[in-house]
Amino acid sequence: MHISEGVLSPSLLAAGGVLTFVGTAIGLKKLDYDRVMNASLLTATFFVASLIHVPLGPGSIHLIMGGLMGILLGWISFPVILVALFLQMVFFQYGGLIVLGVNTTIMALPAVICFYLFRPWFMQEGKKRQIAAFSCGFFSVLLSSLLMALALFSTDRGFFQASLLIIAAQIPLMFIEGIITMFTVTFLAKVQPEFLQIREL
Amino acid sequence: MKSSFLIKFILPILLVCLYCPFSQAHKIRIFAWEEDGIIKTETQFSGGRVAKNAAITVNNGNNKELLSGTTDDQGIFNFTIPQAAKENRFDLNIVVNSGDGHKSSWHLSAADYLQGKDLPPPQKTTNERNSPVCVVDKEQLTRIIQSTLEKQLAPVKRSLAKLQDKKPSIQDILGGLGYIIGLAGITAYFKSKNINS
Repeated sequence: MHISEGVLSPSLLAAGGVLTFVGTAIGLKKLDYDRVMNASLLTATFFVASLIHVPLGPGSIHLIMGGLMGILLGWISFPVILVALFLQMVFFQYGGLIVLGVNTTIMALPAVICFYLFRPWFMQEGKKRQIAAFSCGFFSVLLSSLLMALALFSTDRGFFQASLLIIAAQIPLMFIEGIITMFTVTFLAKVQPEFLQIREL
Repeated sequence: MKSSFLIKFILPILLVCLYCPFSQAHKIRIFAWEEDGIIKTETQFSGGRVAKNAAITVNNGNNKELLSGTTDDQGIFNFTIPQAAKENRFDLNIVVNSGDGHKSSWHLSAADYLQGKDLPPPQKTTNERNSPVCVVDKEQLTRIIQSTLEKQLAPVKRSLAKLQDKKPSIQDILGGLGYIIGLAGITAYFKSKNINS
């Protein structure tokens, strides 16, 4: 999900930069003292998750954990993903500085959308929370791949085939993320319910 | 009840996923080296999977396209050094674009691929034809040594090119986590000031 430097058009890069700036500003405003630890734990999760490759078919995939981040943090996903992507860029040379805005938007915007769509169900006990968690994992990957495909397609119409392939490639990940988000949330609800911050917000 | 639901519902999905022919990668990488007047390029995704049918463009130093092509099933694309590049001693910039948002380039300087290529063409000397004892002059000797060295060094060049790509090491990962902890500390510090004041 990391777009390389020099692929996208300047206007798109600028749009991504502005969206990331606004999102990060809102996120930092919402980040209060009690949630600093949650946010940094999820930053670390995101930073490391993309290094663990699960072999799948001829290639491999890695987790993004955008859904989990979205449902737990909402707008705070923006600063969290920005920091994690920046560190990945510095340490592992994934993506690049100029495309940082677009890459952040591609992963953080779906997380925020999932937060608003599924948070009400998430607040309730039992099955509804599980469904909300699964949907969050599923739709965050789906929306991310749609955004990425759109970004590539709007830069170069010739990327249409590749764009479709990107969405198709993410389908297994959508289910896997959904399932893992669901199990993580169920586990956290049992063991560490404070982490879910169900009462507040 | 719950576990049987999981087995019935989730297991098939996971099995379908296992056969999915697609995958994703973090980045693409390309290495290029010169061998016998041919520039060889090898393209891979991070994780070692070869990049088939990736578009390759060769530019000179001023970003003017010299030639282009696509990689084969092994992710390899070879081309003879363009005459214009030889004459003007262009530094080559070889760019690969896999079309799914991954792009990378390899810089091959003129000094690297033209090493020893600027010697005058071999001349048949009288010694070679007439005398039973083979006399090799300095120029010929240089040429022989160069071609042998080139052959011997080709695999070394290739693995050196491969080494340029670093995999994330444990130090990188721990370093990144350290930064995250530090940032969390700084944020917590400032946010706690707000609470106190």
